[in-house]
Amino acid sequence: MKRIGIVYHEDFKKYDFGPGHPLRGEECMDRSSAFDLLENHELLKNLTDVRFYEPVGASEEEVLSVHTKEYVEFVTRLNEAGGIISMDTPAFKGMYSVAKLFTGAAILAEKLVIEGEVGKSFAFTMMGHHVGADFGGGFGAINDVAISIHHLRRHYGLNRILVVDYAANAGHGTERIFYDTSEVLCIDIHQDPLNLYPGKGFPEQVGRGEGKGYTVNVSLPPYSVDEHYIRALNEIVLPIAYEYRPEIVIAVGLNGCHFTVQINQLMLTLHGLKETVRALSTISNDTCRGRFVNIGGFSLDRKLSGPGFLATVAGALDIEIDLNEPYEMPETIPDVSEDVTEAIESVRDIQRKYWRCLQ
Amino acid sequence: MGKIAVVYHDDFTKYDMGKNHPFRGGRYQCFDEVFSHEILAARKDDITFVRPKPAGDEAIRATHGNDYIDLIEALDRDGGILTLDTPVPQGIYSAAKLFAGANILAGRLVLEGIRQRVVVLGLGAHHAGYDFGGGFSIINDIAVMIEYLRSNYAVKKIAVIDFDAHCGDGTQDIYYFDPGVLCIDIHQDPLTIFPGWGFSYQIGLGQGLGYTINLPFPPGASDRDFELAFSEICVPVVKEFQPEILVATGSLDAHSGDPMSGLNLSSRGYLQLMKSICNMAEEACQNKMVLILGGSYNLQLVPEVWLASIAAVLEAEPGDYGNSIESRQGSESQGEQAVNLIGSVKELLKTYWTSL
Repeated sequence: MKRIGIVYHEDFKKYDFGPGHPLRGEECMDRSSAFDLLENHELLKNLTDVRFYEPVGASEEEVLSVHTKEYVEFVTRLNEAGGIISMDTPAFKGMYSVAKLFTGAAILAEKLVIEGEVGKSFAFTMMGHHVGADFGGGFGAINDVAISIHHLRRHYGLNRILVVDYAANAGHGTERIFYDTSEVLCIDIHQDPLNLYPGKGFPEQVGRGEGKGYTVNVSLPPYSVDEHYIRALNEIVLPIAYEYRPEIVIAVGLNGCHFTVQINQLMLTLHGLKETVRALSTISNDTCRGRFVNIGGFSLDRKLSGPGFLATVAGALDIEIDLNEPYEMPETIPDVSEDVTEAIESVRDIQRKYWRCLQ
Repeated sequence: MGKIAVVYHDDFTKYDMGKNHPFRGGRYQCFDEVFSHEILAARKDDITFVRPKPAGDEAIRATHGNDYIDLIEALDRDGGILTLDTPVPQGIYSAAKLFAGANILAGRLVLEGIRQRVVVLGLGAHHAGYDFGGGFSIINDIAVMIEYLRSNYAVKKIAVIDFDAHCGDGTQDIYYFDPGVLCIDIHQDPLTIFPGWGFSYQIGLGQGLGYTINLPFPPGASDRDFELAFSEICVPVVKEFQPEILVATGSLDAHSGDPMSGLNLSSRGYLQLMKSICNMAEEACQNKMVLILGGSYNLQLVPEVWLASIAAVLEAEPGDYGNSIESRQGSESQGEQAVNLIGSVKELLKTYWTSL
């Protein structure tokens, strides 16, 4: 029986940007909509032992391991008074407190896996992957992913950490934080930043100094579908990941590439999301005794939340299940196969200088 | 001030992003108008005009990532789009290299002691970072010059004052970890304008902590606010840093008559700004300075502000600077906001600079 850990806290729902904003706490972070389907799933019940863990907030010291003192003072002030972090990111009172709780969740999820308490873990958070060492934005105040990775390096001495960010938008904050190191390999699959926030994450952005080649940006055209994502995984992500031989695999993403999501143009189904997570988890099985952590996993839409998280877990555990799409896939989607081929080729052209497997 | 040099090339007009794009080459067409004006005509023996060559590949690739420059070369060959706001028309890269070469020439003239102050009627593509472009910037001509000077002359410390209305996020990106290049940047609050970068708490990282200084002014900030920023922050910090050369750069878009920002500098404000920059160079680095002066999105402004700026660098007698647009001075609260901003920046940076 496989034991998995889900790290969740009721207070996650307090991460709420208010009416009209795509990120609503009640919608995205509701426990019952997210987990009921999984907990009551006959097949999964027989095969897995699902345990819930409650995080504590990350400490100031942990936050400061990644963010500057000056930036932390700024978000601390906003935490008390509210305000604006960037043009797209209003700060509500208490935002930083919940963000620290997310960070604590990521740290705990990694600890559970490293210490062998569970096989795979899931930090069910709204990850702050757009946040850099001293800038916020993209709905994030601090970068929980980066802080937890720093913790892995310092606390457990890991120096080959693989992060695969499969969210629709590039995790430019995380990339930037680890831009000059080879100890963290950031692979990021996302919609072309030419036509989507954050406008960073182009294939020619490969890292700097010691970190050259340790940032891999795979940008796919709008209207990419499951098979395109899977091709990018098979042709770029998996070969590089196996060559890197990570000590842990951190997957970062939500069900944001799903075709129903209005704020990007990727067209994945739940099946595609499951296959993505399955591929990333398989890397961990083959290279690092299955140490796999998923950070994110939520949905913007309550109806998608349960099936979305079920797909994530089933993918991570490589269990075949039926996934019921809550919505109909649109029938007419432009065929962008040729653009996808070109996009993958351009990544290969650039990255073959750094990775033997692509030569 | 004795002789200065002015770097200019007719092909600067070829940095043109096309019809219906705000960045056109026409901003570089008022050269004759400026230098035939009586103020400068009276000093024509003190002005040496020099024509630059394009920057070499080596300096460009020492500044930017190889993979990024490969992309630029490919886009330049076929034409394409770098970011949503930055098209790359075929052949524009040559013009970009010419601007970088112009800055390099200016820097060489100064460091070889041929001239103390050199003005480039140039570009200042400060939104191009180590491996990204945007904001009408393809390569960062300022940084290409800095890398050239650092590898060909024994300069260790260079100060950059960026007075463009938009933050020079690209230049900062390149030098964010580098204590050898002090970047001081005065601009409109990035919460209200592109590029959304350059908040006061962004002060560099690692070894570079404290060597990036951002002064984000609220829209409406004017002459007086810029003067305050200079006297309270820029001058003391640059003097303490003791650069070997000062690089000042910006287009004219902080002018009240320029449509691309909400800042309200007058032409006289620019004159004063240039005087402040020159005084700073005199006090901090024996007058060694390169001024990379860009154009405006309001073509009418370019001749009068260039004229005022060059006159300031020459220390020419102030006369009639043309039909200058009067500054809309900020209200009292605007002044207070500026004072508060400067106070908070001082507070943030006082651990890094004893002069604050």
